[in-house]
Amino acid sequence: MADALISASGLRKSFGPTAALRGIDLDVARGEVLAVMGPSGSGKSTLIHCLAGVLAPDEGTVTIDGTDLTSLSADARARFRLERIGFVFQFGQLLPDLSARDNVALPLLMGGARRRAAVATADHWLGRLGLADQAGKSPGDMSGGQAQRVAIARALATEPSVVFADEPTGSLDSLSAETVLEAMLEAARESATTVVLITHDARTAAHADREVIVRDGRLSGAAAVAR
Amino acid sequence: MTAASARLLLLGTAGAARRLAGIVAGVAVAVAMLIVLLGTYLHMPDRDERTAWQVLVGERLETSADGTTTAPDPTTDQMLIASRQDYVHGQLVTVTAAAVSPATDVAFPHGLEPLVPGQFYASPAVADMIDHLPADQFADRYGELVGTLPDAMLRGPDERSVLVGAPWETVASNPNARVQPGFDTVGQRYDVTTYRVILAIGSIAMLVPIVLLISIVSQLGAAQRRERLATVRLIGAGRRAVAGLSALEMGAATAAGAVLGVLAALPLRAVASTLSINGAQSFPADLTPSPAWVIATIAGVTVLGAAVAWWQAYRDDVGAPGASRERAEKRVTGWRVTTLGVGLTLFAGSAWVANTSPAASAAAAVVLIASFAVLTFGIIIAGPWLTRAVSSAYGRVAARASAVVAAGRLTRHPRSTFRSVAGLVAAVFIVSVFAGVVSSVRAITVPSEEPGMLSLDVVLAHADAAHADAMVAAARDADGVERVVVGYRPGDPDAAGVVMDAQDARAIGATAVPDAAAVMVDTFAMLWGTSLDVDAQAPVPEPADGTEGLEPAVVMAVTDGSPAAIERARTALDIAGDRSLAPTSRTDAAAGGAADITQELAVLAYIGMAIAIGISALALAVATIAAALERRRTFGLLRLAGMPVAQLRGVVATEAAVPLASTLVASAGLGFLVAWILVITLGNGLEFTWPDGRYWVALVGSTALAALAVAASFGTVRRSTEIDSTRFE
Repeated sequence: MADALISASGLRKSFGPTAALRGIDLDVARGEVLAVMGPSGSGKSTLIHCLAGVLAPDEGTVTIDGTDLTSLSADARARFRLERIGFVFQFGQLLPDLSARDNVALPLLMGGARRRAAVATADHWLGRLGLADQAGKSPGDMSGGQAQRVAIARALATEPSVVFADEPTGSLDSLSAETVLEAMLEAARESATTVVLITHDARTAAHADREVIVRDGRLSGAAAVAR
Repeated sequence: MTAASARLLLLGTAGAARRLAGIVAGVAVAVAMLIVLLGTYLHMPDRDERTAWQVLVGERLETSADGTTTAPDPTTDQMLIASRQDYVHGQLVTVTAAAVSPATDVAFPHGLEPLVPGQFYASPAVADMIDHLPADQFADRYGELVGTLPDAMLRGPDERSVLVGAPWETVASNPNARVQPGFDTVGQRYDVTTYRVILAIGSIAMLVPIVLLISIVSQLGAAQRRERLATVRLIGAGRRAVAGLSALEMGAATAAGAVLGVLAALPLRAVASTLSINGAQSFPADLTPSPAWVIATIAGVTVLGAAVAWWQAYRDDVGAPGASRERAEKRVTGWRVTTLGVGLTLFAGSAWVANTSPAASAAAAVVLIASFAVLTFGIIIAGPWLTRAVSSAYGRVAARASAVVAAGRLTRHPRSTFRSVAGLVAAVFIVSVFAGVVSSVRAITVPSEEPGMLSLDVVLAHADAAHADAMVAAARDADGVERVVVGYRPGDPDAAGVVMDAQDARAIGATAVPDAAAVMVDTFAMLWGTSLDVDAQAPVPEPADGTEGLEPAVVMAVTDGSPAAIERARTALDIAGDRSLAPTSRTDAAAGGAADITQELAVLAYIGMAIAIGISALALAVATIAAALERRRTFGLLRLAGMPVAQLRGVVATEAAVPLASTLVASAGLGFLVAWILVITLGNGLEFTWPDGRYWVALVGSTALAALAVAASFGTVRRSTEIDSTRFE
């Protein structure tokens, strides 16, 4: 792929005797939305974790925007994630003790931003996701869809190169799921952010530019679908 | 609910087993200390009853106007008895002199053979001192040692007592002597209220951190436990059944802990018995409550633990799964300070009543203890409010990620975050009270050379015409004695002081001595002045006509200041004197008063502080680790998103530091306020004095221990948030 932001080749990863990834080659273009599908236990999450530098593969390389993650130390990978990668999880994983605003501001503060600037950025992203009036609320006082949009704002607030979203709408009803997904993808496309989306749901995957299917730790050859 | 299902639910995981083990250990520590403290409390009067033989209960001797006494002739059915306080190298020795006729029928206590003049029995502690000191410094004062006093005649193993056989006529000349048919066996229950008050307060100081530790340990794995109980609710168990399950779990753990605690109390007794209480160490039996008390303690602790667990589970009804969604604690309000205010008001009021109305002092003492407990719990109740107030303000200015995360948790969970440090805060409060009071008392009792007061090198002995020459000669012969001074009774019986040579007056420490051959010096004031009166002024000698024709009243040995010389002078003067009063020095005068008591209180206080701080630091470590494990999902997410471990450590440290910093200073300040109230109301004219270096060392030490306790959790924080550990959370 000519303008690949993420480039993975020969990825292998085992947990004890269980081989989770058995040699995966994958490129994701800059600004592309990629859906990763597959049955439970197929290796989707392991693939995402290796691509994001959360796990170091046993074999193979992962390059994001020219940086070979497999050559970095754990601390350097953590720093890279903080600066270049955003995450959205199934249950939002917001910090329950912080307001929506502070949750979004947190990665900026972790990166060394000043409080005032971080809060301003957080308010900007909350506003873009339609949550301006929820900024002071705690996650516990919000609906699931609202909390998930806060998580998306948090993922995008650092203006990452790529957002990894693991079943981002899995805990929501279909209407909320649709709203949240659209909000995330719209915001990502406006900022030309690459999105790698894990999902079981074909309707969710349909929003992606392309989808790949993972089976038994391999990309299913016939299943890479470009839209 | 069957026992089998309860076992599955309660012991099904390693985490649950660890939690139960923690509760058992915490209860065991608490019960071990409770048993020892209870035994001490209950047996305190018994210790004094064993020394009934020292109590003078007979008729006083007839004393004429000139001070001479008239005693009955010796008979076989009565004895003369007198007692005095002797000193050796700063140690108090209680001397009981008994005079009986040669064919006496008077039974000596506990089967001891009657003594003849020149023989004595000594407690093991005194016998040990005799073995280690030259005879001319100590043993010669009493004669021939013929045996040791049994434990049944002593308050404790380190009690320094001697029972001396004395000639009838010697005791008969002692105005303090009594004639009685035998040694007292009943004694009297001395008022040990003060010690019991102190013991009660000390017990609160040590047991509060332990109770908090148990409370913290019982919260280990709370989230997982909540989920399991919620599942039990889902499959059909009612609210009461779940509460019963919790009661069963806690009841079994506390029962096991209580039994272990009773066993642990046995070795603990041996250590605790070495502490000096009311002037003596204890025999291990003195720290052992009766079997009925032990059984009652085990039952009480078990029932209490089960009842509290039942009530908490019933009140907190976990509901079905999903209902355990993370919630903020109920908002804490300023009303929490009310308990503190009530406690402080009650405390000041009861102290004032105890000071101004002696008739009501017993009731006031009870209120004083109760209000102290209210104050202590008031701090624990008010702590979350203060924590929330400070962390809320801190959250507004926090700029670092770790500070924002910590402030968020502190603001939403002030109860649980303060609970981690509550033990330390309570310990610092109580120790500040002790340190403030003890320092104020000790401030005036540490003897030092003061102008116009009796030199610390001088040993003073009362004398009369019959013994003075012998005393002077004996003192002169004692090695290390540089000068012997005789003070004479003035012609005017109402005059305060004795007449002596002006040079002699200067030699014993008098200042502003008039330019006269003889002067009148108030040696009583020079000896006791600062011990009895905080504002004592050095007495000013006045010119006198001379010593010609006057009777000796005191003989003083001016020594080279070495401890050995002082003891030799004391021994020489004692042997040659009338034996009614022991020779003394200003160091003894100070040591014999409040100093000994305050010293032992200080030791007890700092030991209590060490225990309370140690347990509190342990509680803080457990609470910090528990909180880290409880939030491994949150922390794991932060690490996954790129937060460095150092910043996570910052979160953990800040969550301990903010409640500690916001409440520790307040509790120390409140402790000093309470100490000040005690000193100005019950201190009998004392002035409040800031504590010595030991207190500040303890305070810094407790802060360092807190830091260590938090640092001990860093490894857990790092391990439990490794990506491999949390990626499936």
